[in-house]
Amino acid sequence: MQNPAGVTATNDLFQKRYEHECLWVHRFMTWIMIGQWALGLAFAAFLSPLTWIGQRNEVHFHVWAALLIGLSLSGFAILWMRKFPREAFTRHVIAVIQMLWSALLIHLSGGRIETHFHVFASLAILSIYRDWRILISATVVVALDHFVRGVFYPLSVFGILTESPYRWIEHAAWVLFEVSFLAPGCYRLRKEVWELCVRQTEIEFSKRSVDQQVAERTKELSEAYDLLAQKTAETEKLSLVARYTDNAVIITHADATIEWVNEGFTRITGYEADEVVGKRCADFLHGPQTDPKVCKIMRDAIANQTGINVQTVNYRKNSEPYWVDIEVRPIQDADGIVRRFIAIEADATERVRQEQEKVRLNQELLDASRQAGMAEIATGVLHNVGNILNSVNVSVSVIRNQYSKSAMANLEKVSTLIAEHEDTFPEFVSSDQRGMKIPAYVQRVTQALSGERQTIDCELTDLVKNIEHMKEIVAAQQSMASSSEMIQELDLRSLIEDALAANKASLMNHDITISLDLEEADKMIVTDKHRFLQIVINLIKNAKDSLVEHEISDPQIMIRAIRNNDSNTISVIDNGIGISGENLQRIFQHGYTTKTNGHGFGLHSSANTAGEMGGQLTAFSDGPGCGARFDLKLPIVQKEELSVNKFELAV
Amino acid sequence: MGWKIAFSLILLPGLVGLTQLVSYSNRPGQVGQSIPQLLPCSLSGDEPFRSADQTTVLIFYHPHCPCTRATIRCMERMIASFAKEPTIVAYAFVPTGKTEGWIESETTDKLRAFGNVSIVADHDAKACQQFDVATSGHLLVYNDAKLSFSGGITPSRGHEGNCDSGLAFLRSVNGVSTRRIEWPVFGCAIVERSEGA
Repeated sequence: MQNPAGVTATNDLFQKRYEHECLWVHRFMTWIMIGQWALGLAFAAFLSPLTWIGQRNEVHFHVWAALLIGLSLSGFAILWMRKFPREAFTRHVIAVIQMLWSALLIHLSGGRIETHFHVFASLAILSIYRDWRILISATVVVALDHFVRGVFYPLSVFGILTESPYRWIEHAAWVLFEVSFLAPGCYRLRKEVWELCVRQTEIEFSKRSVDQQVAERTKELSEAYDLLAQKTAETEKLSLVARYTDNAVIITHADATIEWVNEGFTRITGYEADEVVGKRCADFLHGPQTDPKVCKIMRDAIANQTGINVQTVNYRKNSEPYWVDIEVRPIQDADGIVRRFIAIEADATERVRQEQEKVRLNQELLDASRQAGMAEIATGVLHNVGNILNSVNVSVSVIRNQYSKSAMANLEKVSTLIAEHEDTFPEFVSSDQRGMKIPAYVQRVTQALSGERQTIDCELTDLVKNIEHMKEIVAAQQSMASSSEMIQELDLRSLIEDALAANKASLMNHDITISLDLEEADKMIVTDKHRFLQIVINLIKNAKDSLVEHEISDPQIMIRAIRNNDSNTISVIDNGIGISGENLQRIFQHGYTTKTNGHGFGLHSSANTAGEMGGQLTAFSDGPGCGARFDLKLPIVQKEELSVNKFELAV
Repeated sequence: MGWKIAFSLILLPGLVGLTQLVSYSNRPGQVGQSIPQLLPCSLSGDEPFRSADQTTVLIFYHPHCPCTRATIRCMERMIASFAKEPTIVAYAFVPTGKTEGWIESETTDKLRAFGNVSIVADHDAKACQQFDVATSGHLLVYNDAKLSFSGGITPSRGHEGNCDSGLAFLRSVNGVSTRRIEWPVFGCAIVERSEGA
């Protein structure tokens, strides 16, 4: 019983084989067709070459019939076989043509009984096709031929029977008789071929199965061989690694006694393999500097059969200590039982030394950086304090001038004069010419002293403010160093005026016209007051220096503030010497200055401070002689955010 | 489509030819309407028949007609079935200007081989004219000088084999009366139609 695949394969094989058989029979039938044509021509030529009418003769009709009908029948059959070699109906066509050939040859031979054997021979030949159905087609043709030719035609043409009306049935019956034997034979032959195909299919399937199994086994063996080769190669590589690595490789038993060491072990420790096999590493590698904690970790790892990575100090054979990185891994067998440990020890002495050196260098670098930072902070503090000290100097100079020109001296003269005439003071006042001037003089001196006091008070107020500002600068720098801020809501105009006050004396001394345009900005801004003042004072001072150094005829400084979507921009604009394009690129660099006595720190520090405030400081100038503008852009911070920030700071 | 036309053109002549062949084979020759119903005493110019009360078979044939060969073969098979030996006279057509040697052919040899057949050269088809016979293979049977069979004994032209006419001939020779006397004759014309008329 075949499976569907087997049946399909058998069908295919049978069809292929049968078609091949048919092609062979077709070739045979082709020669049969050619031979029959030749035979027909021979019959006609020898048996009935001429037909006679009295003493006159003509080529017999049989000759033409043999030539043309034979050519037609054979040609048709041959071409059909070539055109449709594999189709089933081709066999029926051949059967029909063969029977027509029988009819023709019987005609050409004069109906000789012997020629009728051609019919039976043809049936036998057709049975080579092993297709019993075509025998039926042939029988039908024979019956029809005899019926039409012997019965139907004479009856239809002449109205008489020249032959027995049942003779055609007799002929057909004899043919059928033969067919009744040939057809089962064809069927059996066909079935035998089918059985052969079944057997062959089964054999092929079995062979294929065996081949497949062989192929699978071969593939498995090949894969196993490849795997073995791969493992062998890996083992060789591992062997090379273990042999030539600079690291020490130690294989120990489960109780930590050494089983094998590589050459790297000897290179690092100085011990040969035969000196250490059977010993424990701790027995000869550890020493005074070996960390006991590490020793305990290693003992625990051995006891717990776990892996560890440690670093410790070991001792070479010559007692020289060395740092070593140790990686220990348990090796399990197929049952999961730890049978061995493998330890890889890398000499880390040089690396540890480098790390220690690195730590030392980092510390030195940190100290240097700290000092540099302190220096920078000090520079900033000094710079800002220096700016304020200018104002302090001015105030002190004003006070000193005021005292040097004070009316106090005149008051002392009056006092001396009064003391000289203390006894006669009333007469002196009423009668002496000089005494009479004393009251008016004292009044004027008093008025002068009152003015001086106001001036000094004013200067002292500025002085106190400036000193306070210096304290705040120092405090701000300290807070900057500790990364803390003092953000608060401030009046912008007041801030600007404070900044102008810090430079007031020098601005006044050089008759610099100051103008403010603050209407377009927020009245109150949230910012770090002292950072803001540090920047703006610096910008005003720079503007003043630019105007003074180049002796601008109508020196002017304008301070303008405008509000953008998310920021306020405070601009310090002067009509001084201006800045070239090249300098604009570098003006915020540390150490870069165009002043005669500048240090190149102010703008650099101001730009940094603006950045720390979340803002930006930018410079604009159309070139030398066109003045300059410095914009301090500060982000708008809402009061709520300020509160939140303060709360967060508090938390 | 082209191959269908090509195959049709190849097969068509064959089928038409076979049809024509059947038609040719079944086309009988001329049969006279004035065949003597009584056997004449003698044939002009020839010796008289031996006995008028015997069964006499007259065969008219063209010595070179291939179709008559089937008639001879049919008769060859029937001779064994003759109840008594009839007088058989075969008139072999000899055209004008030909000698008697012209009658020598396979058909004549076959007839001679029968032994009891008298071959008579029928110069200028005189005998044919006397018996109003025009087709080779025409047989006349006279029983007691009376015509009992006239026609051919083949089923078709040049086609031997059993047929009703052959059976009627055999019965006639054996003295069995048959309802039908005249049968078609299939063979070459001994004389052309104008001559035979």
